Amino acid sequence: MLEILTRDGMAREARWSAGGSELLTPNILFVHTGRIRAFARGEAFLSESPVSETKFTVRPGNSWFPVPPLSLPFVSEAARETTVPPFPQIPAGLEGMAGEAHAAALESFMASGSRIFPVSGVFPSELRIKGAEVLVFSSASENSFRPRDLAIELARLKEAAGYSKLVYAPGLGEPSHIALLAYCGIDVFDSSPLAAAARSGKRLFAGWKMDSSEKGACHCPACERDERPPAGAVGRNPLGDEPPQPPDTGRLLVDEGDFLALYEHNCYAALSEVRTVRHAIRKGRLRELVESRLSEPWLVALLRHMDLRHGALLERFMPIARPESSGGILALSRASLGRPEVARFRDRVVHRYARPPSAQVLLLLPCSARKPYSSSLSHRAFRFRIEMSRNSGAVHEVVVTSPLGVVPLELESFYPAGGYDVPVTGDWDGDEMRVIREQLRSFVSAQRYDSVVCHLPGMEFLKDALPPSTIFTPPGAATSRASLVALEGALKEAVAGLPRVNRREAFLARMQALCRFQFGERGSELLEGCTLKYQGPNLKFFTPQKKQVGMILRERGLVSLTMDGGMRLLGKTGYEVQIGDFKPSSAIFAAGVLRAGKDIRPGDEVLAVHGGELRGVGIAVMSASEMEEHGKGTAIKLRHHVSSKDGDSQ
Amino acid sequence: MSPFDEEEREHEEPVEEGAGEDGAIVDGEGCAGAEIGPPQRKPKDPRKYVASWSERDSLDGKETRAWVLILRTKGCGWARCSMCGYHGESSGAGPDDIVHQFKSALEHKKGERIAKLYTSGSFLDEREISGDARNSILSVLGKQFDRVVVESRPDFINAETIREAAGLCPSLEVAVGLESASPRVLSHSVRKGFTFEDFAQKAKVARDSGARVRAYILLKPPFLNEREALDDAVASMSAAGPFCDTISLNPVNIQKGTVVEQLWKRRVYRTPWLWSAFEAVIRAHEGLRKAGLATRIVCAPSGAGRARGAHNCGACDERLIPALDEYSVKGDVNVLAHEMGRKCRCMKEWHDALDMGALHCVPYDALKNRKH
Repeated sequence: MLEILTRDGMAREARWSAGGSELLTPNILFVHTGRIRAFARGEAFLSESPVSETKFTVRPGNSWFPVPPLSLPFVSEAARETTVPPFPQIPAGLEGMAGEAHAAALESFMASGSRIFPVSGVFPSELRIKGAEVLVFSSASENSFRPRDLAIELARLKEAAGYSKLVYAPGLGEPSHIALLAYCGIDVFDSSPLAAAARSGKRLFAGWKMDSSEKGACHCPACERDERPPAGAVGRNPLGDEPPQPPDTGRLLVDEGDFLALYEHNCYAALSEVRTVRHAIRKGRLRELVESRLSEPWLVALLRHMDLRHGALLERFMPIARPESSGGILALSRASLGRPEVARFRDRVVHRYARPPSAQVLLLLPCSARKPYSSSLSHRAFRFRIEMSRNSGAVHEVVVTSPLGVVPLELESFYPAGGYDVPVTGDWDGDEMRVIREQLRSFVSAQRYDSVVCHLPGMEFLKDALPPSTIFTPPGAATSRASLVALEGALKEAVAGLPRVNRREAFLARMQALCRFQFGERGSELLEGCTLKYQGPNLKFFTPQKKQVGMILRERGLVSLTMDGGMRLLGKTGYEVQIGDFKPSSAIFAAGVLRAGKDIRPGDEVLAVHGGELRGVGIAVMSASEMEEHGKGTAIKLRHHVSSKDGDSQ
Repeated sequence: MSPFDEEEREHEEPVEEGAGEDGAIVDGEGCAGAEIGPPQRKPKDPRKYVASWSERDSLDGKETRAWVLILRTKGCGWARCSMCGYHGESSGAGPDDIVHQFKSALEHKKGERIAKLYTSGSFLDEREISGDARNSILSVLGKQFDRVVVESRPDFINAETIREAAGLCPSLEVAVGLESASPRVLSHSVRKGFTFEDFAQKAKVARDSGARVRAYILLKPPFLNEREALDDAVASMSAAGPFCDTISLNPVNIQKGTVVEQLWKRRVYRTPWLWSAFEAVIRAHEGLRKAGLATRIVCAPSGAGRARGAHNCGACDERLIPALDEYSVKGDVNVLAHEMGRKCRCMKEWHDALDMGALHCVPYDALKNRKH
């Protein structure tokens, strides 16, 4: 049985119960063979015989090519569940007949009583194999020579098998690789590459490696034990002698004692990394960890291929909101530009967003270190000048920033705009400039403002994305007195002749723009005729009949609906989940879902509907495609539902 | 420098010097470079044989020399095996061409007692060599040599053909590329197109009709890891033992245009360790003797010590290859046991490969080849 505990994009923390014990993933199976003994601290093993009574053991299974047919050793019913069925390991494209390896694996799986399905050769585009909970992605190791192919195969596997199957990539599991591979949806690794690295004298770390001759860098128990000076060495130069150089044989072979110590070290490093990855998933910060581990070209290439070519797949599972504790996005490098949730935000600003109709003057502002922007000193100074223009409702504040591009101020609390951090030095790299320029150009041409005021000193590269009539404030610090005075003058010039906009209506229009951004084209209808009321930091929306339709919690940045709000949106939004005919209580399980709007992502506000009737409103825990796989677990956490008192108030 | 050399550097194999040819084949006269296997479309001259050379061998327990000739024919009628690139050698040679090839090569023989006549296909296939041509060649061979080895797929072995051939050439040995006794290895790995039972039946027919039988067994056909390969070779030699007089263990080498070459280029295949060949021969030798069989085992790996052939670390290959040769000639298994006892540092790597090979789901060759 497989249960997904927490999700962070395609990575997840899951609990797999099989063979009478439990495996928490991501995890690494430590190999246990005649010569390479199991790493005792490991949580799970790959071994023909059980290593420990309490710990999880995957059995590698028998060869598919035996002669004469082996009399199989007795394996208990329970142990069979975690035994890899025999399968021919034939790479795609090298089969005698396309599909023969898959057919052989399928036949073997059916007869095995196992929950592990070995994927081999060319696999079909639909791989929903009943009873299989873990897939052996046997070509992963081969394809890691070619990151482009690995990305393609991985995406194909995920599309074919769905989200709710674990993926085991035999032959992969070096500490530097685990974070990214987990991010790409691989859940289980093994220690065979740690042994191979140890044999060639490599001491591995997450994001680093050393030759075995380099001593003293690590304090794991294996290295401490190995490097303790021999008796009689006391009194030697504490700085140590020159480390012995390995014989120059072209490749390094270490002796058995060194090998075992190195292997053990590598096991410690990999296990630590697995646990770090799990922590990052729980915190919603795996991408930050991944980017900090990009220490080898193929890793960078793999991430780039995933972002650029399979971003749509990654995005499908990327949360729409993250808890404040995640600390927001750290966009540290060029790699961060392609982050799927960042790309999604940029895409939705261009394709889904519509400006408040009354806000006809576009005011482009720089971002601030403090988030949300409006709480920063600089933005408060801008706000003061906007008020001084005497028609602030006609002015639309839009922040230009990396890596998000263009952020209309009403979306400032929306993930990821609500919390992100970038290193600011005033230098822009080519990709950053290109992304922002193109984003701004599409935004300006789609939103058709009456005039544009650009208060972005130091961002002259945006000039050609803006209409020729744009008023530029003079260069210099954006918050200098001269600059602010110029801003005020420019705004006065821009609003001259525009009808005066009621401030209350202007604010409502901005909130409607946010609703549209959140719920799609007709989302703004949620707030039609509504009044707004602050309660502490939270903003509530009421109909003329004084019924609350929803509220915005500061840290969530999205509208949370009431049942009345849900009624207003019913039939008008893609964020509906069709459920079976039952009265839900606090949660709807994936098993109860019939269909889910394809745009739904973890964290989205959704309507639970049966046959056109609203049954509840709440937060999606899964993405649409995972809901539709009907696996185990909660699909929606309901806030209100038909049978509850406050929700049933109409 | 051929593109071949490039690939070998890419693989960072220890032995680079002199790499670039397949090794075992020595240029024959009139043969412009014995490139074995490349699927070249260049028409080959049907009047010229592929290659010919002289090599060490033994006859009835005594060391002697063998004259080897590879004839150019229409090529193998099957030509689908995953490790075989010899079909690149075919041409439209007719019976007269083939007899001419044979006669022109025969002028260069130097008193060898054994003749080995290969066609990169089946000597007994009348599509390749007509009955008349075959008979005229065999009658010459029968007079000049004490042992004659020809190759054939089982399809072409029948009592009539063998009786006729053995009548002309009483010391005939028919070699059959059995490759493995495992049905799955034969069908999915080697793609041999016949079964062990086909072999066993035709081997019996050949022996009953007056010929000796030699079986080729592959070491490490594609998709098998080192451990599976070793076990399969030992089991196959034991299974074939009762049906033949000689077993030739052939460690797979990388021939051009083959499935094996593609695997190798994709870096998921390593040619077998020489240690595996040693181990397989020792285990099979002892097994056969224990079973009371006198079947002789020989092993002369093509391209041994090179990236494309069976190899070890590069340091020990040079002492191990002659030992295999020595064993093949003398039949003394202690020669091999002695060399294994001398060890080498790379033995640990070989043991790793065998060890990890027991974990059938782990693609160990692939991960060992990975640079990162």
